[in-house]
Amino acid sequence: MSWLNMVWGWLPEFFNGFLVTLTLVGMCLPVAVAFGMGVVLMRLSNHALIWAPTYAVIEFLRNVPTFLLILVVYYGAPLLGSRLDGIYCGAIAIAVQHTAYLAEVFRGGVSAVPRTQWDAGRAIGLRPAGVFFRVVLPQAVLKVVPAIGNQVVVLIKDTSLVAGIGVVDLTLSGKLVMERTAASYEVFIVIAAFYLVLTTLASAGFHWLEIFSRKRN
Amino acid sequence: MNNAQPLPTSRPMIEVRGVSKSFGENQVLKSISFEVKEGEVVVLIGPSGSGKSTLLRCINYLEDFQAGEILVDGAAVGYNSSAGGSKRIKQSETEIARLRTKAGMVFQNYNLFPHKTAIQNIMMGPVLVNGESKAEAREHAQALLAKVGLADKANHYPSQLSGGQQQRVAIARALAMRPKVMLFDEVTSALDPELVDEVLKTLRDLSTEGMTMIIVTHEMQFARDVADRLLFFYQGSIIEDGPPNDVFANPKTERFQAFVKRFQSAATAA
Amino acid sequence: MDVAFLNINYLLKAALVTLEMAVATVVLSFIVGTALGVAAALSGRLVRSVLTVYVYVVRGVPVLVLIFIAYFGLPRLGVDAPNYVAATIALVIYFAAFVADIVRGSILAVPKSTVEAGLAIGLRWRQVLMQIQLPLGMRLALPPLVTTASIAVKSTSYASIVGVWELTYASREVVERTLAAFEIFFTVMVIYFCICYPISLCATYLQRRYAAA
Repeated sequence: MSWLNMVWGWLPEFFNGFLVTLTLVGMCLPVAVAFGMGVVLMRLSNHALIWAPTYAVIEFLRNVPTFLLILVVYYGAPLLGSRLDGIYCGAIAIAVQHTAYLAEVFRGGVSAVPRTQWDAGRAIGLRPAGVFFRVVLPQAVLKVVPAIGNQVVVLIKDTSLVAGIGVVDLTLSGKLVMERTAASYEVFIVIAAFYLVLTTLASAGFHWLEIFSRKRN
Repeated sequence: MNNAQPLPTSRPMIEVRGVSKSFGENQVLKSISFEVKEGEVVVLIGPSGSGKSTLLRCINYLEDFQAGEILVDGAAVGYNSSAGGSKRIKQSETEIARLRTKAGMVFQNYNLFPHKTAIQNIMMGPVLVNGESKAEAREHAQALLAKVGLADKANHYPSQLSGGQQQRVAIARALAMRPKVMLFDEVTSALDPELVDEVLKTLRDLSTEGMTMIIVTHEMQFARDVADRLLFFYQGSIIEDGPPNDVFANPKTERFQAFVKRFQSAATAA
Repeated sequence: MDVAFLNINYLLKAALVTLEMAVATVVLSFIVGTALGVAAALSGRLVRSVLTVYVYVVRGVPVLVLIFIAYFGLPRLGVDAPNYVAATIALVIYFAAFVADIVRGSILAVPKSTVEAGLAIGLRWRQVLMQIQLPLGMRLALPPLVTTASIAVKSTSYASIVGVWELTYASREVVERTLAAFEIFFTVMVIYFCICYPISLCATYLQRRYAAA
């Protein structure tokens, strides 16, 4: 089928775009997870001076469009004197927003651990920090694995927004191929299939992780 | 002048004949047969899993059964026999719904509709099924609420009522359909001890008014007081059947003897 | 911040367009999604499977890709629609899937015991659906539906990538003209926040009131 040949011809272009997408995910995900854990500790602090501004910033970041954040970094960075490539602008914006999302997910996990676990921890003599890190946190992490899996899928999809600032990721590579060849929207159906594979793998991975961590417990 | 007396109904109100039911491999009802006369109060007792609740739910066809017949006020429930009597034809949804109105059921967890007030809960059946006007239904519902002692709670939502109050509304809701028989499925098991008595009182009142009742319960003392007949279920079969005093005094089976002993020691311990 | 004030009228006009798009998206996707969700809850395996596949695809594909498919695809199918129509169609197709999934799940989440209570007083299945499953199901569905609405509002900004003139597009125009990136974007973020945060507060309130115990 000439259709199949056509798609075959597109693949190298897509592959480069795919690599860019993967790079973005690889940059943003660990950062968001790590910083998200840090931020949630601030959010859970008992000092109003710490949790109040944290709460405000988290809520603000969760209620603005991702693309807008990308634009802020894209147009703002030159003003601060740095000449960041588009891909890094996207990475910073996505990492920052997903830090906020993940902080909320972690907070939900901690809230879901029953109060009785705290009491049990104190009863065996642990101090509050000890209770948190050794009793509550492991249980919270277990509960949120599926929710983190969902967030990872959202992150993968959000990387497509860098197409709006000219970064040739998987999505934009589709647009370029489309402009170069006779095909039009069919290109994006193939692109959609690529994303579907990627997100399915991510979901399956987290599903496996959930089962694995349950067994370990 | 004739002293016309109503002819005693010779036909039993409930007939259960050879009813068997399995959940997959597990047979929970093994060819159960018994009858309940009009106005009789029959109490089903027995260990958990012995099939008593399942049997109750078969009577108003909330559970299907693989073999046997159930007749409520002379009408077959769930299946009609073909002319030869050999084949079972499943009844239509309309038939089943209509038959359910003859038997009122009260559940262990009350199952009131949370988005309707007490009086609306009671009115739903009469208005939607019997086609009564809202005004008629409201009047009747108000009377029923008064009967169960909750006249002032008409416009309260279930979430604003205690467990015992919710259960009494549930009883009123079942009575609103003017059923011929009332089925009670462990109606006090989910209640705090202090709230059990008010519900049992309502049941007692109903029994003195001549309502035919089939009650599944763990409340042994209540069972002895109120029952005309006691049926002891064990692993899907009825192994004792008789008036409470007879059954307790002369248990025919070892199982029931053991059951009685446990009850009596619990009673003395209390 | 003078730059922001000078341009505020322009930006607010654009915010209105964003709101129009958001309302259209939410209303249409909720109508379509609810119909699909109710149908799936009541139907057999076939319809339910179709819905599952639809939700799976939409969940795994970025909104932007769907917008591109609509934007480039509609002309090819002979439909000559303005860019905002194409974008809205894509958004509706995207969010209707989530709405359908939520509605289907909520109707099925109505406790079996409550349904049985309806059957026990002689209600027919159609009456049980209308009087019990739908009212109670929609109550359960409200919190996640409101959250979905909030996400939909934010997604309208992606339409700017195919040239739709709304708040994000307008803010880019102003920034490119004035170079006052931080002031302008901050103002625009505040505008988005003012639209979305009340919605998310609504969702939290509804979650407390109506979520399954």
